Amino acid sequence: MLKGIPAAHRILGIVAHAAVVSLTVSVIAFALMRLTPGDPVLILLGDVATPEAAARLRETLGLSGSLPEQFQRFIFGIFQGDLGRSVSYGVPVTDLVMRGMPVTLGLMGMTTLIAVVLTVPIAVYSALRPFGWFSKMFMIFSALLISTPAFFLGLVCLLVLGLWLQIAPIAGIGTGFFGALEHLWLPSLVICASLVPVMARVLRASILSTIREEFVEVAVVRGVDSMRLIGRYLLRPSIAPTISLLSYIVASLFAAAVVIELVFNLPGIGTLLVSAVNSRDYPVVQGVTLVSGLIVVIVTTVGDLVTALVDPRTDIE
Amino acid sequence: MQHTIARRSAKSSAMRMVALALGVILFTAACSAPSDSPAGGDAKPVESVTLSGPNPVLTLDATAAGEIASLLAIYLGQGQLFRFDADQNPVPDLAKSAELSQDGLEMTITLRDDAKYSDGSPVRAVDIKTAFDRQKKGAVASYLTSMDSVEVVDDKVAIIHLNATDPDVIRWLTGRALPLNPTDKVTNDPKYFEHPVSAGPYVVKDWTPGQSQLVLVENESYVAGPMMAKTVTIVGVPDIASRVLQVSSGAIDFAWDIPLASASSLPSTVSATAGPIGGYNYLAVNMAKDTPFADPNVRRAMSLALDRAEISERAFFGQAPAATSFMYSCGDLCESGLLPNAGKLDLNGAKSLMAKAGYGTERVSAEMLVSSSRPGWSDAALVISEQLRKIGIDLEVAPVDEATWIDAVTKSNFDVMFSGGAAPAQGALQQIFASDGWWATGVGYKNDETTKLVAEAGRTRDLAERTALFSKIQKIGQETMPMITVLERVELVASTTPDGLLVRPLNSQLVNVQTVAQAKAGLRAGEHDK
Repeated sequence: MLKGIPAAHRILGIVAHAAVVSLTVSVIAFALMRLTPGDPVLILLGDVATPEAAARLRETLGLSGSLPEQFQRFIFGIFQGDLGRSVSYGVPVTDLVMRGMPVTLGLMGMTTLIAVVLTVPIAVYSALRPFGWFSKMFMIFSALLISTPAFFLGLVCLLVLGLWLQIAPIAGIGTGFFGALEHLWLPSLVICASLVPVMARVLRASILSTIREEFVEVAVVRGVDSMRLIGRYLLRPSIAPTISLLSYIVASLFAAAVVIELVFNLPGIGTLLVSAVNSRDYPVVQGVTLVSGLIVVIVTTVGDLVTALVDPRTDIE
Repeated sequence: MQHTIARRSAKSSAMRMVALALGVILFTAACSAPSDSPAGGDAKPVESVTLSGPNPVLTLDATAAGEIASLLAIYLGQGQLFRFDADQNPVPDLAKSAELSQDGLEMTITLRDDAKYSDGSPVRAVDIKTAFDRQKKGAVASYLTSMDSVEVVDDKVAIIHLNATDPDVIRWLTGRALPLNPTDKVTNDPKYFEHPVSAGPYVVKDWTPGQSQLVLVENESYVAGPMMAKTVTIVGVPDIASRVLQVSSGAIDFAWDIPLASASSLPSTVSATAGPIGGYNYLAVNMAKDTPFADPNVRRAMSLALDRAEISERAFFGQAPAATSFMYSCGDLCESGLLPNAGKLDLNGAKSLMAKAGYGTERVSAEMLVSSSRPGWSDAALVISEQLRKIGIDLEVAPVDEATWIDAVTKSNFDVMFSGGAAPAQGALQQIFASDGWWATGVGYKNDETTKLVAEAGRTRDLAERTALFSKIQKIGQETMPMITVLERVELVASTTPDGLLVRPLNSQLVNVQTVAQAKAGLRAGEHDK
């Protein structure tokens, strides 16, 4: 067994934890949606619909019956892998989620990649020259970027880069891998605008702390190559907090993705969720929150495992 | 020590970062497709047009469709007996003729001999019956209230049996109520409406429920084809700013529900037109509650206290015409000037009425709901609140989403609301003055006389008599004030298509696409040689 990797029974515990969290979040969504005013059938059919037509559709969509009956159907459905049918689209929720998931995961993945690619050099350079102009500019701009709302920044980027300069697509996802890449780089960069400053600051602080360690001084005196010095002697001991932070940030990317998907008109599950909330599409809201709960737990657990691998000092046991 | 490490790596790190950034920008610039430029101004067919609104297409089944994108996809992508022309008059499409019997209780519809679906199968009279029977239990069963049943005479002839004379029967059958589909496919394939065939100008090429866009391609079997646009894509863009940006960049060719505020910021290549959609914005009060608003004098005072021109100017950039009657402008049928003082501001008159109602010195307070998602409506509500303060009515504006608004009306759980509606003229009348509808029940309006008169107006075929009835109903409305009509609803539509390629019929939210024949004759979509 690798050091830092928990035993099988711990893994089972993690899986059970993920299931409980997802189920709890989904149950909360079930309750909140039904407490919110609005009848999904009337929203769907409009105000010219007769009460009989509305009742028929309610029956077809499984929205008839008391709340306990609906709740029972919902819970039993989850254990059978059936998340119900969308009120608005009339298709299985699973189909909708599976269709939107690649877009959202692609956005989250690309955001993570860009965040890592930008964070490390910025943090390292800033830590190595803590009183230089770069470090000072970084501190100022990072505060500015963190405080700028993502939707505003997204719209400005769309206007400047998409409309005026035409170097980025305005909306949609494109086709194929490169099409997706072309459409996701700008939304990912917008999300990174508030993530990278936070992560870079944490990593910078960690490097500044590590740089004072004796082993680093010894390495310098021994004339260790600069890239090896930075990679092995500075980054590796410093990166654990950043990886932990990254895993929680990635998990919370879903919330950022909701706003960004709307602004950039990406057909991910964020857009699906907003549309479902507006139209009171209960099954879709419940299904998406269940899946997002699973994603959050999986990502944070993976983050903990990677941290343990990178820095065995942080053993999750 | 930091300087030592920094000197070794800083310069190379910085160079790497700059190179990477340049590489990303150049790569994406090279990969970015140039935006489609709109077709030229002369009559050449265009390859594709993209239409966009706030919602994606949710369904292609007319019995379950309620929002514009789905209705538009159905209108373009399925066969219709009649289609609206540019003036919203129904003209025959798949129907060769429609003859009303002497007593007005039977309409005989004969289909065109060449009416075919996109798969080559003929359109049959039984398909009319199938569509009718399904819709009788569907979303717009209320459109078919005057119709009892459909009798199939032969493959091409069907008779619609009415239970009362109805001068609007063809209008009810046009648009959303009765798109035609093959009976055998509809009854045997539960997933038929995910991939329907078409006897309309277009047929669905690519769509799965849940996708944000639907692609229609030209139907070569269409009776009035070929079309000037080979492909039509309908895409939902929920974010208003994104929709404006996309139409500005040319990613979308035609977008509706654009904020009026953005009209002046659209580039010159975009034609922005504010047009009527056959509806009105109004103030409604909950007459079922025991509040000052239950007094018609208070409601009349509210109407007189409104400066409708100011509301239009401040909330809708002067684009929305002030209402002068309970109905919007609907041609010969609708007389203007039937609101108190014809809808003009009369502050002294309003104050007198408030005093008469016993609220000369006492202030009245309430909450006013308004839909937060409609451009301009919250602003209008704020202006109204300001204006009504002058006559002692303090309304606190509470923006809510559409679903909450519908719930509030359904449960009669509101004091005052600012909202809007759109419906054919007869439907608008029913909505306001007939006590058995969803809206009237919600606001607590009960008037047997107007209910009876509305039903009678629905049966009267003579235009002069009908107009007189509409006028009579609205004059009773002056006394009872079921709602306070404020403005006629307009919607901004932004388009980069050649003039005439896409036309919205008057007072409608559907869209006609120009045929090649219309283009050659110099006609716009929906127009016909008269």
